[in-house]
Amino acid sequence: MIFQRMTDMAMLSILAALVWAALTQNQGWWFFLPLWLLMLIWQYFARLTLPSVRLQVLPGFIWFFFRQLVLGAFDVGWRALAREPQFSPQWQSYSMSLTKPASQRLLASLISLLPGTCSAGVEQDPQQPDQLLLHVLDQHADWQTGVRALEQQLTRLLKQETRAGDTL
Amino acid sequence: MSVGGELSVISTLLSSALLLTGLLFFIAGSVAMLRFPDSYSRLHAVTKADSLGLGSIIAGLMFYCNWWQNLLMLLIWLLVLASGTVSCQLLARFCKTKQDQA
Repeated sequence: MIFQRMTDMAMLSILAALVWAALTQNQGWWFFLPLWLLMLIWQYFARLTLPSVRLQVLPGFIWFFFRQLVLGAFDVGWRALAREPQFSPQWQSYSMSLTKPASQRLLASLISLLPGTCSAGVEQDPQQPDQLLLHVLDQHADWQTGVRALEQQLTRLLKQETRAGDTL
Repeated sequence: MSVGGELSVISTLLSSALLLTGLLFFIAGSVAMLRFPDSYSRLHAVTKADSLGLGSIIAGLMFYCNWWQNLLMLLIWLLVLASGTVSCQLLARFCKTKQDQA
């Protein structure tokens, strides 16, 4: 467990250092070091871990995500430029089947790039499945299908979410 | 399509189309900020339209740059996507909490 956490911290540190080196042309390390220390402390106390993904599913997931991103941008653009835009904004709850907090956070983040949905957080209730609080642009539109499809894609992608014996 | 050299006609057309598409998405996002009815709906606009707008502009600029610059631009776009969607979520949560408390 401790070894896994140390490995995750090392991996994230290497990743952050590589991104910093690339974007700053290998300069300003004196500024990076305090940020890196803060990142390590945050990662330790927030118990952040790098999710294990199935690499064979990754291309399909990327294709699905970017297709949804394009659809989401067209949806917003169409509403913005239409002569009489259709709006019926409302808050909605969505029962998640994802169980791990890291997966739920990832779903909540990615949903904000899907057509017509924007997430505001996860509500936990021991009596029922965790609920995702969503703001939708049009409550009469079929926003559930897109969210469910993204959730299924994440279930296939993340190893921690698929139960033993499940087929892909 | 060489760096620093002349672009072919097809490359120039493709690059221009992508740059114009990006510009259109940025304009649509800005118009949405003015026309959408509430703060939450405006968050949809800035997150989605501007993300794709920036992606389209980066794709258009890729015709003029070398592989390393292209890689850096892709990295910047991914970071903007990640920060955009996370900050959208945090802003929505903050506004909702304030609204519920009022």
